[in-house]
Amino acid sequence: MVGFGIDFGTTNSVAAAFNGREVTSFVDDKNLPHPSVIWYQGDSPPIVGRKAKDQIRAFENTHGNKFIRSIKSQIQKKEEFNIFGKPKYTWQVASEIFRFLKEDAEKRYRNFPVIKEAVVTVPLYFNGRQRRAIRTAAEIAEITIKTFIHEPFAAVVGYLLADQNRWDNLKQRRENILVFDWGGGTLDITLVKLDSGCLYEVSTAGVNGKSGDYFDGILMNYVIDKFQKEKGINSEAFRIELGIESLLLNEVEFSKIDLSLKHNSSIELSDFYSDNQRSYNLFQDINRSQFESLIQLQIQDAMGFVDKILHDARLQASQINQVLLIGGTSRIPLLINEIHETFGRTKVIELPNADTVIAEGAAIISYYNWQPYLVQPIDIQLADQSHYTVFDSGTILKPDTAKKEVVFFCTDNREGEARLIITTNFDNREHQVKEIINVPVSEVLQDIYKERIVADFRVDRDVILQVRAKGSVKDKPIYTEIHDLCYGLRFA
Amino acid sequence: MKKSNLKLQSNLMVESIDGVEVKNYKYQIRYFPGDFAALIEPTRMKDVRIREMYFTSQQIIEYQQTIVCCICKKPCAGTCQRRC
Repeated sequence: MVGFGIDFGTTNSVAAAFNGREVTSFVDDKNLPHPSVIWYQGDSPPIVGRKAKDQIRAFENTHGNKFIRSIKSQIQKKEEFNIFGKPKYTWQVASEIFRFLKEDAEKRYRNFPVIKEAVVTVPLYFNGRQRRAIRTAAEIAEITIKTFIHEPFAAVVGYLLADQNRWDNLKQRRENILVFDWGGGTLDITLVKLDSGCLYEVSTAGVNGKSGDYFDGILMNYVIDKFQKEKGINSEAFRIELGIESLLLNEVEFSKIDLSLKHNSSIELSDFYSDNQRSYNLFQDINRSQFESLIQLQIQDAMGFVDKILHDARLQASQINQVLLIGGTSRIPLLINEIHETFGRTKVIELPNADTVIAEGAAIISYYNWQPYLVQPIDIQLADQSHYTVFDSGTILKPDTAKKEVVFFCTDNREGEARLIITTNFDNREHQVKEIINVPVSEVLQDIYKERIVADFRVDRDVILQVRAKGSVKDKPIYTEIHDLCYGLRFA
Repeated sequence: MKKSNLKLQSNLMVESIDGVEVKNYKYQIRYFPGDFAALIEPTRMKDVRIREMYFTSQQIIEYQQTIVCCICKKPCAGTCQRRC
């Protein structure tokens, strides 16, 4: 048996498999995750991944070519893309990435069965609509999503459980783990609590943009500026061909990666620029301190988010047991030094598989069939100020277990409606109202003894709480969905 | 999540869960607001001896707060401090 996991990322996506002994990531020829880029050319099937990314600059502005990037961040939008006159929904576009991951694994990793079902990871802030759209995308690619798991939880599982030695006493362990995930498109920092075989989020912070791709842009502008100054070229008249710009961006990206390992790197491009029949080559040395001075502000901002998370969780840095650095951008030495200073060198784990650990964790979760569980209970406020708990914390969020039918009687029908007030609470703090459903009931006073409200609560496959409530007045129930259930992962 | 400064009160009590009746559901009348209980069961509420059998002290207080005072002509619940 093999469990599959998919990290459907904003910038990169990757699938992984776990067979009970070892994890395998289905990376590309360069041992990297696949860029989440889709390249449509007329009626031919789209090209996805690195091949598409490498051609963005060359063909982006050329007629007959359309590139779509960061589809994940647009997944909940209802607008359609216009692909050469054919409308396509976001999930139809996203399905191309799932299809590519499936077909690429089938072609290049022949020892594994075809990916038919997988655990898919999502950011903490993704709501039910976004999860539902991702499920539709995967289903178009004929992949059934077993369950959705939050990315930081998958990272923790990928780290803790990939090595058999770290399984010891996992049920007894209580730890605060800071997952610092800084990739190409987003920065997501999450404080995860490991408590008796459960993982749940304590606090989270982050930002879109200002990540790896943004740093590539900063470094590219720096290289161009320096080139213009060296050659004495007027910046207003300076134009480089799109193909060359694409090559430069590639070079810059590899140089940036290089600078995480070495103190110096160089960028070389022949025939980089031509002006009045004269051709210029680009050759520039960049050292780490130059690059770090360009991104210093962003690193400070990221450390500000770390402070915020600790403040929100009312914890000191000394109370954090481990810090996991994942995503390519978190390999930048300046950031690592800052994290070392805050938490101490021994607590910081620089994962060698930082790009694939999320997919690997998802594959492990899929193999063992671990399920998400409810962290904050779902309660109903009652007329006597008490609360009835529909689903207690710890409830496994599967459609066949998380369902309940509750019949209520009404205590006052003068307003012609019954108020179903759905609340939640965490650590027995004050109840917070999540939703109020007004169910029409008879306004005839003496009907109060007959009036009943039948409410059906169930959690669907996309971890959305569906509530249907019906009184005596209307045949059709009032229906609502709650998309922001707080859920964790139970794994031991 | 909906946020509102308005403190809404529920007007529901649980009768059964997945077809299993909960304890005390039959005492529906004891969960009515006092003024509403008086509208539904006026004779029981007005009789001092009977109302203590059927209603909670909270309901009786709520009911009494709705009675119009014969002196000040308002539902003063005795706060006007005059005597009939």
